[in-house]
Order: sequence, then structure tokens, then C-alpha cells
Amino acid sequence: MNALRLMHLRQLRRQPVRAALAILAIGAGVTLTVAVLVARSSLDQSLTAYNSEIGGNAALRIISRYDHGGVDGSVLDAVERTDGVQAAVPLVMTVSQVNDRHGHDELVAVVGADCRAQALFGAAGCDPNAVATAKDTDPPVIGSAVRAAAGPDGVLRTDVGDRTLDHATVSSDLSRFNRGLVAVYPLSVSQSLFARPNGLDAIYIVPKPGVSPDALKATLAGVAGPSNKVLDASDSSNVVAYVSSQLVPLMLLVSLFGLAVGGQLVFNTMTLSLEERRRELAIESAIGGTPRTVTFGVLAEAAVLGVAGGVVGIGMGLIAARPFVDNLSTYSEQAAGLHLAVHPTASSVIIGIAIGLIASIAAAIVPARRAARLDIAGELVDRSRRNDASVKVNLWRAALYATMCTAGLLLAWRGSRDGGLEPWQPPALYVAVLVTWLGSFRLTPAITPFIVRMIEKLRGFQRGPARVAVSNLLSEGRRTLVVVTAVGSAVGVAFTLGSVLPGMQQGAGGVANANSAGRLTILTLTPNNTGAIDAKVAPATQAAIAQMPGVGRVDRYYWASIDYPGVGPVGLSANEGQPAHYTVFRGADPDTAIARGEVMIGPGLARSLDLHPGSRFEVPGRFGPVPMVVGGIWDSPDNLGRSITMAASLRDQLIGPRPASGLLVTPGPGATVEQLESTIKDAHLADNLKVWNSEELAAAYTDSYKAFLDPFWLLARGLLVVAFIATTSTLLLAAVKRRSEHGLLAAVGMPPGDLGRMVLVEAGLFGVLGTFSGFVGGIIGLAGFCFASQILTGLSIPFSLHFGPLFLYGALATLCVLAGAALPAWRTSQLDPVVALRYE
Amino acid sequence: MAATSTARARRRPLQADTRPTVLEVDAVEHIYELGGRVVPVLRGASLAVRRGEIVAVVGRSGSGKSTLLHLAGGLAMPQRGEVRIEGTPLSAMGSRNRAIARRRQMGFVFQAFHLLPGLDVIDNVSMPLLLDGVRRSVARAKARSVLADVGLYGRGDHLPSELSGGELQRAAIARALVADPILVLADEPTGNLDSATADDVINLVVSRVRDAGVGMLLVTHDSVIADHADRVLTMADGVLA
Repeated sequence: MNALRLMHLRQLRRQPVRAALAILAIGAGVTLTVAVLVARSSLDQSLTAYNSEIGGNAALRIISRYDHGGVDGSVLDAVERTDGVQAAVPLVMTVSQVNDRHGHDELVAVVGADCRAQALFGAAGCDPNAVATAKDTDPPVIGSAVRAAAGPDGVLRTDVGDRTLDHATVSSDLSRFNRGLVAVYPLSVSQSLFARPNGLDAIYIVPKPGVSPDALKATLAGVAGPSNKVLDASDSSNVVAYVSSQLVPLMLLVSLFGLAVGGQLVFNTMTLSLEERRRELAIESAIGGTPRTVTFGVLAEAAVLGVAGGVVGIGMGLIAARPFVDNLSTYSEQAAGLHLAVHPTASSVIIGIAIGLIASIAAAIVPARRAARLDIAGELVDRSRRNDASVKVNLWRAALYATMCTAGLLLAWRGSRDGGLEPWQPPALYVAVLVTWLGSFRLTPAITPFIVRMIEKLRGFQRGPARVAVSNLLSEGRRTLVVVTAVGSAVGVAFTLGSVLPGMQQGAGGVANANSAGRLTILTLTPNNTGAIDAKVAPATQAAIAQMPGVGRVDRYYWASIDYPGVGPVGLSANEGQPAHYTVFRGADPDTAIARGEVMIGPGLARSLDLHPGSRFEVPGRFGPVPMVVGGIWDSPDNLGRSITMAASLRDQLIGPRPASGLLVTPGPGATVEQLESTIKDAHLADNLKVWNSEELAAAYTDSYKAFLDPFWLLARGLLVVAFIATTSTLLLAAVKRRSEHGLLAAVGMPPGDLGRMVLVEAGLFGVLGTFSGFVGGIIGLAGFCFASQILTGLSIPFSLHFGPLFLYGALATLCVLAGAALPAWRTSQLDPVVALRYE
Repeated sequence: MAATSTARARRRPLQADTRPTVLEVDAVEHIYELGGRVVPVLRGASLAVRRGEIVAVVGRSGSGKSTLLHLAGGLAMPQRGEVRIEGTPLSAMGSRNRAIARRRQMGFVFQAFHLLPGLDVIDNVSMPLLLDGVRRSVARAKARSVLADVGLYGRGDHLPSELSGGELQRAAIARALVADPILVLADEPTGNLDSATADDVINLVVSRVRDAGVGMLLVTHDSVIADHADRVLTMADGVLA
């Protein structure tokens, strides 16, 4: 232990810069992971707190598999009659908007309750008569934050129009719910304002004393029926479960990518550090250090660095968690009016340290084994005999990885064809994308030596510091590849994202055209992920539009969501009139299928339930199971391709009446879409009315997809920081390792300024090579993403290249590496040749 | 074990030597591969060192002297032949056991001193004991004692960079002897020193080795240094003569 401490752990104190850079490297890797874990814990904590506060004394609650008041009122009667139930409290729970009349909307939770809610919170002086006689125009009781958001003359949006909050009572008790962003109505009023005839969102249940909640839960499952679920009072709801099940894993994937790059940096740092200490390790072995001693010593160093890096990563992760939490909050606000706050937990802290430790040790295993297998004798007498770290130009290797990428892309193309409906296609696609991305990670390092050889032949690199710099890139190939990989990752991710977004725009254009070509779309909300918000187009507004000149017909479309058993969230859409027209992969066209009473389904649902045209399946409806027949499978992106499109009449049979999500307005004879758009806008029917032609609808879709890419842009920016750290650490370590070489260059006449310039030229070349690497990797990554997108996201994205982000991030990354090289360059230029030559 | 040798200096009478053999090098062959070229370094070299005996190997640069020493210490393994320490073949030991043998049974003195630059002298000297799990206070006490023996009393707290060449080599000698080895392997121990200092150092190492009664294999190109040995072997083209 003493030898371990003296030989290895003391190294950390002797080389504080190296230790600090390694800690920063692993910290940078851990940061994103911790940020995502904190985001996840924030979601859980906020949700649990919200549900617990709403649930009060209740032990259980019943919710529907459907959104929007899916629990039928008849269930409440059955629950109240169930043995063991002391109180059943019906609630309407939805999300709407508060508008301040100056263009600002805030999402708020809305609760509808009657005096039975006192069973949850204790007697509060509720007057049953007052509740029973309440009118739709009466103001709600609101939390203080609602008052702040509404201002003096603000309104609350509902499905039947805006309701003024001028005389709303502010309750201090409500301010602890959802940070005060909550409004409460009498139950019957909320059912009326938010279009839930005889519909409830939850029934909270207080068991009788001595009744086991688990036993009661089992009893109530039979009472509630298959379209409802019995949960513990604080369990998460369907919509938020969707957020955590779909988005959090995606974010985690992003963070793991960052961690992999951080781990690569630690590997690099440990490798270079051990290279520098080869002789010391040889001495340790010569005087009796066993291979295990050396290995264990190196791993102990890595463990200390990993723990310290984990702690740094936790600190940075708590700061970086904010944008992730904001991203998740956007979805939870839309889904339940739930505003998330950053809630770190002890487990995310412990996991952060553990990840730092594991990543650091994993990255140090190979360098440690190399150190343990050192040629002791060769190192003690003749350092030149050691294995050169240079990477050889290997045409076969480059060709192999290029073939791997090509084969991967071909398989990905085949795996994604026609919606990827065959059972073998999705797994083949995943394998193909994995092979392609792994191949691209190896391909760019394999071709880098070719590029360096080409640079070497350029006239400007034939003499002076540039000549030495370019030869350093070749002789220290491993170091070159690590920095190029770090820079290339940042540039490649940016290039891919920069090209994905225009592709998404094209995809969104396709969706918009499929839905509304030749028609106007009229909404009060943005078109994506807003189905749960109860601020739809009011019936009065709908009637007014129908009466306008130039209007041919008004078709309503409806959106609902079900937590389908064994599948998860499935979107249900129904149109009056003409349905959307996506590409049909299999079966009948939508007009024919829907006219026959059949349904069109997305490819994701077809894969999940193994459905084909003609397949029969059953959907648990609000009033009982509803049989359906698959008419066709089409390229609908709704709910990641897990959707059912049906006739409005079938929708009524399934879930009953609902407010329309939006209107599709067709111009009448002699009128154009443009004219009609002007007419409706000029009428100023409602301040939140959105009147869009298909191009504007496509732009709105694109805006909503941008939020989906936010975590990836965060990753791209994080990788720039990682590239900066990579450059600084490797060049500083290289400067230490090559001290005598630099001393020799100084001794034979290279001026101090040229020594510094040499380091800067190396850094500049890192930037150029990294940008090229990002270009190659980005093209391959983009192609893989485009093939995988339909199956992963439901949206078909065409392949198109956009070079703006490549050049922008290439320039940024080059600036980062030049900034990272400034300190090493300065230190090299300050070298004392006499001391440096004595160093060895 | 029949070592092929030419005695240039014999300080002991010719009689049956009953002292136990601590090192046997038996017909070892060794090659290096440099840049794809095979370079034979040793071609069947053999020798033996007994307890209390100092054997010198002389030869020109590149003749294979240092390689022989490294093979003797288990720092590298021969392609053919055998090296035995107190009768145990090194080839029968794994790398872990060879390392343990180095820390308990051998001591190395290198031309370039090879002290660890980040540790003070006393930690450098006590390192073989620390590697063997000896408590630090005990190891340091032993190291202080050995440092006093080599004339470095009071210099234990200094870093290697604060010592002269002669002092560095004295510290290296102390490290070689601190674990009470049976064999000292010295590779050009005076190669980096001026002649006066070299003389002091070789006298020191020889006297310490003789006092301790351990065997020593001394590799040098300097015949004056070699004259301190009981036997001198000449290495030429990978063969001992």
C-alpha cells in the first residue's frame, strides 16, 4: 500500500496539471449523464409531489387509459358501492392556458372537484349547495402564480372560450400545488368548460380503516374495467410515463455518447501519462514490482481521478441539468400542466461518482496492461527500442472500414424499406446502423494518416515549424487520432443535426400536405404534443367560421390518446370528411378503408401488435371493448408511428364526444385558400386563433420538432468543450514527453517563437483534420439516421446535406483547439534547452 | 554447471569452492528483432556466481553484456538456455514470481542510477521493502541504516535531483542492498562518473558486497573496474570466453 501510494498516487500531486485535465475530462463525460439523471429525478420528484399533494389522504386512484376525462361517471357509482371504500373523490384534472391579454400564455393545471374532496384534505367549509349552483361563468379559485401570470385583466382558456379571471379568488393553500400554477373549479363546471360530459380524469379513493390498499386495489381493478387503471395515489400518469419512457432514454443515449468521448479522453491521458513514465515503471519492475503491482497502481490512479472527475461532473451536471429539465418540463406542462423544478437526488450523485469511477478505470485498463507488460530491459537501456506510438498508413484497414460502412448503409436501407414491417427488418436496421456508426468511428481514424501524408506534401509544410508539426502528427499517431476524434465528434454531430433539421422540415412539409393540401388548418394551439391542453377552438368560433363567405365546408378533426395494453401510448385520430393522405405501405387507401369502417394504422403499431391488412384487433373503449379491422398500414408519424385513424363515428363509439382538436376549412367555389385565410384572420374571432395554409402548418410542425433536437445541440456544444480539454491535455502532456526533443530543436537553432508556433500549427491541423473527420462521420451518421428515423421517430426524413453547420462548427472547433493549444505553446516557447536536454 | 571462463585476476586460491551457487546462466541464447532485422545477441553464454563471489563480464559496446545481466535478473527471458537463482529456473516462475525474486533475492545497480525522481532518497532506497509489504517505518529505518553504510547519512530527505552523480550511485547501491539480497547485478555502475568518483563507488560496492557475503555479477567495459572482481569473463559476439 505504501509502495502504491509513493509510486502512483503521489504522481497525481507531482503532476497537478495532468491530474486536473484528466479530472476535467472525466468530469465533462459525467456531466451530461448526471444532467439527464437529475432531469429524470426532477420529473419523478415533481410528479410524486404533485400527485401526493392532490391525493391527500387517498391511498389509491383510478385513471383512464384514455386522456381527457376518460373515466365514465358510471364507474364512480360502482366504486362508491365497493366494500372497503370509505370515500371516492371524483376529480377533473386537465391542463389549460392563462393568457395575460398581452400575448403571453402560461400552461396551468386545472382541477375540478366538489365537496367530496374534503375527504382528501379535511373539512374546508365546502358548501354543497354553492357548488351545485355554480355557473360556467363563475371565476375559479386560483393559485398565486396564476394571478401573477394572468395580470390584472388576464383570462383562462377553456374548450368553450376564454373565462375572465378578474374576480378570481387567490387561495394561499393552492400556492403549494404546482408552484401555484393551478386553478380549481366546481366539478360540474369543469366538466362543462373542458368538454367532459359525465367524464372524470381521476377518482381518488380513501379506504376504510383497516382495509388493505393492495387488496382494495385488486377488487377495484374488476370494478373499474379494462379501459381504466387502478394505481397508488402517487403513481405517475400515462402522459408523464410517456415523457419518461420516450425522452429520458433518448437523452441518456446522448449523454452516454458524451461519456464515451470523455472515457476516450481519460484513456488518452492515462496512455500519454504512462508513456511519459515508462522508465519509472521499468524501474519499479526492475526492483521487484510485480505486473499486478503496476496494473493495480495505474488503476488506483485512475480510480482517484475517476472519483474526483465524478464529483466535478456532478457539480457541472447540476448546472447542465437546467436545459434538460426545461426540455422535459415543456412536455410535462403540455401533458399535465406540471412545471418541473431541478430536484437532484442522492442516487444521482452516487451514480455520477460511480460512473466517473467505472469510466475512468475502464479507460485505464488497456494502458495499465500495457504498462505491466513493459519491456523492462529495453526501457532501462534504450528507450528507442520501445514500440512506436505512431499509427501506420494502412490501406487495407481503411478499405475494410469503408466496406463496413457501405454494407451497413445498404442493410439499413433494406431494413427500413416499406415501413420496415417485416419482423426481420427492425433488428436488421438496428444492427446495420450500429455497424455503420462503429465503422464510421473507425473509418475516419483510418483515413486520417492519408490526409496527413497529403498535407505533408504541401509546399507550406516543407520547412520550419510547420514541417516539424506535421511530422509530429504522424509520429504521435495515437495522440493525433484522439484529438481528431474529439474534434470530429463535435463537428460531426453538428453537421448531422444541421442536415437533419432541413430534412425534418421536408418531412414536416409532407405531413402538412398530407393533412391540409388545398385547405386551411385552424387551431388555437401548436400542432404537435398539445393534444392534452384543453384550450381548443370554441364552438362559437367554429360556428362563426362556418358562416363566413368563401367557406365551402368545415371538417373537424379529433385527437385522443390511449395507453394501449402491452404497447404504451397510441394515438387515435378521426376526421370528418377527407382523411389525411400518407404513403400507404400495405392494404387499402385511407378513403376506401375508412368508408368500409376499417382503420388505418401506423407502422409502429403494426410492428408492436403484428397487424396486417385484414387483421382484427380489439381496443378497450370507454363503454366497452371495440373491435377494429385493419384496412391499411401507412406512413403516419403520429405517436412514433403508433396510431389508429378511424371514422368519427367509430371514435364516438370508442370514447364518446370530444372537443375538436382543430378545423380543416375548404374554400367554396370561386374562393382561394389565400382569400379565405385573409377573411378568417381579418375577422379576429379569437386572439389565439391560428389560421395556417399547408406551408405555414409545415413551419409550425418544424418548430415543434426543433425541441426534439435540443438535447442533441446541447451535446454538440458539450463536445466542443470536450475537444478543448482534449487538445489542452494532449498537447500539454506531449510537451512534457517531448521536452528533450524540444530542447534539442532549441539547441540546434529553432527560436522560442517557432517552438510555440509549431504547437499552434499542430493544433490548427487538429482542427482541419477533425472537421474533415466530422464531415465523413456526419454524412455516414446522417444516412444512418435517415434510414432509422421512420422506425425510431415515426417521421420519414429525406437525406439532404447542409454545409453551414459543418463550416460553422469546424471553425468553432478549430478556434477551440487553438485556444486549447495556447498554454502548451506558451510553455514550449519558454523552454530552457539546457534543463530540457538534462531531463532524460 | 561449467562456466567457460578465463581468469585474469584470481584473489582466491585454486581449490574446490564449496560456497553455494546463487546464479547459474546455462547456455542462453537471445536475439532482438530491430526494424524487422534479427540480431543475435547471445549465442550460448554460460556462467555461475557463488555466494560471496564477484564475477565481472567485460566486452565492447554491443557485445551483449547488458543483455546477459538483464537475463540474469529476469528482466527479460532468453529464447534458449536457462537462468537459475539458487537452483530455481527463472523460466519456471511467472512474471509475478520473477518480480518477487528481484525484490527479495537480487539488487540492481544501473549505469544511469535509475532513481525515481519524484521520491526522496530514503523512499527510493526503501522501495524494494515497501513493495514487499514491509511497514513504512520499518523500511525507512532499514533504509537509513544502509544509507549510513554507503556514506549518505543525513541525505535521505533530498530528492535525486539534489544529489551529485556519485551520491546518486551510492543511493542506488543502498537500494540494491536494502533487502539483504543474495545477488547484486551491476551494469556499468561507474559509467556515468568521473574517475575519482568511480573509484570511490566501485570500492564502496565491492566492500559492501563482500561484507554482506553476497554474489555479484558486474558488467563493465572498464578493465580497471573489472580488476576488483574475483573472476573476469570476456564477452565477444555473444559468447563468454
